[in-house]
Amino acid sequence: MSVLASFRHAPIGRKLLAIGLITTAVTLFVLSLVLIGRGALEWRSRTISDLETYAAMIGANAAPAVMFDDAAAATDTLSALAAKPSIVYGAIHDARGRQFAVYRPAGTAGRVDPSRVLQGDSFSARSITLARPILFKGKQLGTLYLQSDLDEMYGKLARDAGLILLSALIAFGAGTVLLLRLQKTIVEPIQGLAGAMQGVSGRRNYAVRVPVVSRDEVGVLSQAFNTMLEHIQSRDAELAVNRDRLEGEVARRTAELEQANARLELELLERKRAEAALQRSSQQIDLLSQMAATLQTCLAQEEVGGVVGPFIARLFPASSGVIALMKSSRNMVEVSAGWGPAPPTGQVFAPNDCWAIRRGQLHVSGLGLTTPRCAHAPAQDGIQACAPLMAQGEMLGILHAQSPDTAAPPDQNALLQRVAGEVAQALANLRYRDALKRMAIRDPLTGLFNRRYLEEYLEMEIVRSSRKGVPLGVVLVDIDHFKQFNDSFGHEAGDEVLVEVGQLFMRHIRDGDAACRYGGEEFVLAMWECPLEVARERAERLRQDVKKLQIRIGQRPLGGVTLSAGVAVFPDHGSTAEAVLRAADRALYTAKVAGRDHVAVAAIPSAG
Amino acid sequence: MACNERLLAAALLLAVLLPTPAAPQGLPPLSEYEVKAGFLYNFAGLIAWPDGTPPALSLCIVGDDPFGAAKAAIDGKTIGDKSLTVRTAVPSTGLDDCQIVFLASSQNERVPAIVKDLRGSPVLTVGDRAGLAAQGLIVGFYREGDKVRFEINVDAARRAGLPISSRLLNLARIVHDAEAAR
Repeated sequence: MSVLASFRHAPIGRKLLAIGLITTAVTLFVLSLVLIGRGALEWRSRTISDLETYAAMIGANAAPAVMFDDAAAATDTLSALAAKPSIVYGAIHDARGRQFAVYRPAGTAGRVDPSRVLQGDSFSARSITLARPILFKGKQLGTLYLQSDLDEMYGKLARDAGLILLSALIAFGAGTVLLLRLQKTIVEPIQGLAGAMQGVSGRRNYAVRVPVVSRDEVGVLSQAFNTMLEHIQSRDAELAVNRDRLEGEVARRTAELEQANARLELELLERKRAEAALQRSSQQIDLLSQMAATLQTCLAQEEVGGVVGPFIARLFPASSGVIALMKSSRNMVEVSAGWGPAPPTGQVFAPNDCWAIRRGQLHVSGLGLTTPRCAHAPAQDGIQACAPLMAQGEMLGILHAQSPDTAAPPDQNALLQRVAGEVAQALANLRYRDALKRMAIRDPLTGLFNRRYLEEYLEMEIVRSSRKGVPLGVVLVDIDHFKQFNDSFGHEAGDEVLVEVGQLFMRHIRDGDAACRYGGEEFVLAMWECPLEVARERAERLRQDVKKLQIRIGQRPLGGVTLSAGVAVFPDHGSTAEAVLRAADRALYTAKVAGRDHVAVAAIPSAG
Repeated sequence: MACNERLLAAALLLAVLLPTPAAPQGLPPLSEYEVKAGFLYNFAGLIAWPDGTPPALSLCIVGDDPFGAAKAAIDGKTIGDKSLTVRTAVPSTGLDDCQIVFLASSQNERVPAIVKDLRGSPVLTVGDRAGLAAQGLIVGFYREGDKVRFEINVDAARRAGLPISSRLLNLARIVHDAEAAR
């Protein structure tokens, strides 16, 4: 083991030498054995062959001697063996096994192998013995025994061995010299390679190259080593490049990640904003529907501004504004209501002062916009918007809003337009309702209130007058001989009389008084805070003015129109409208009876 | 019994019957004629018989048969591509149809006549006494101590046209024709 181990760690040169020498020694040893063994075998076979020859010869020659029982002749025949010194014993035995003749040369006594002389063919380390029958015409006469010793062979083999040993020593020496010479061709390149490898691994100098001096395995190894070094070098370079690229890649990825994060945050923000917008939008929708519902309850256009203001203030936080309505004269726009922290001032302006009215569409001006500022709005920082209030193609007014906040949500304009639409619709509805109402309480021919309105008016005014403790004057008027007018001049003329009288009545009444067509050619004047005397005077003046009317049909003048009137006063003539009207009717009857074209005052009913 | 054992022993000596050398020890030595019968058999194998020789070789025993039962060990035995037939009480004339002629001792006087008779015939003539080969027989047995040996008259063999194996000659005492025989 230890020998093997030390051999394993010995330098290659010594290994090669040892291997060569051991191989040579083994070869020579085996060769020697083969040669010596072959020599021995050859010697044996030659000896056997010699013995065979002698046996054949002696056997033939001795046969007659045996036949004729001539021992002397047989002994004589055997003496021919003296020619072969290695034959140390010969004997002829007759058919009965008795020794007939024997050959024992002088000085060979010690060389005979007596145990084997009569054993037939036998071989031993000392001798070779042969037994051959002596034959005559196919019949065996006896047996011939021959024995040869091997002294001569051993001598020859010893000489051969010495010669082989000598040759082996010479071969060994020559082999050693040759091996020492040849091993250099293997060892030196390997040593060079090993040195280069140590240099590479020690100093990490991959630029080193091993000289390739042969094309054997060492050469291949050197070549491969060089190639490997090249690969390592290029791999190093690649690694460096890759590292740089990787770092760049990492930086790029990090930046991308940051960008993505930023984008994500932005998206999150946008989503929040969208959610807020949605929430706001739903709030707006709620507010809008509430506003619309509230608008439904408005009875007059004047109320609209006040109703809408709080909603708009909530829909547009931090904004202020007004609702301005077009006057029926259409030459003036009047501020109806306002909202916000700083409601714009200025009560009235011309329609042309507003660009929204002029253009019939939303007009936005202010920061960063080139559009002109509306003259009706106060000069103020921030953004301003005017939305026209239009319904069925009619300009009803404007919704004006302004905000110091320049970063208003983008849907503000649309919202403003929507609010304006709602408001305009409400205004239009109210106008329509006013018109309807007017048609319901007026007499279409004369434009005076009708009887139904009169009854309501009286009811309301009686309550108010009694609360205030003031009188309410009622004058019942009837056009004299109106039936004759109709009959003489036709209905058209009658109607014309009614219209003219009605207009006269309209001119005579104060604000708050009511002039009504009571039915047919009867009219009623109801006058608030009017004592009986005043009522009688006004009725008298009315009677006189009617007489001055010049009524014409085409170019034809109609005849003079006169009227009769009965005057009564609440609470003097009754505590209810019917009572007062009945009193006035009785007075009118009195006036008629008195000859028409006359004013009569109702009699004060007796107490009780 | 004893006769059979001896015959068996002769067969062993001749290495004809038994293939293995593992024989029981202590057998009594072979009789003279048992040995001689074996020798005759071996002669038949060592002679290069000329062409035309019949495959069945005839061993003709002329004169008083000294082999007795011993000849049974070789009668009818094969030897290479030949076989051997023993004929006894063969008359001394007309022996040229035999291949081997054994002249018993009783025929020793007739040797010259028989030699003359068989002159030029390829017949192996065998005598049973030393000196007979010199009289013209090809082979002659003799005793040397207790061993049976044989002479070979190479002249007679040449006359008979029977080449004798040199290995046989190595074992034999070589003789030539005596002057009288020429």
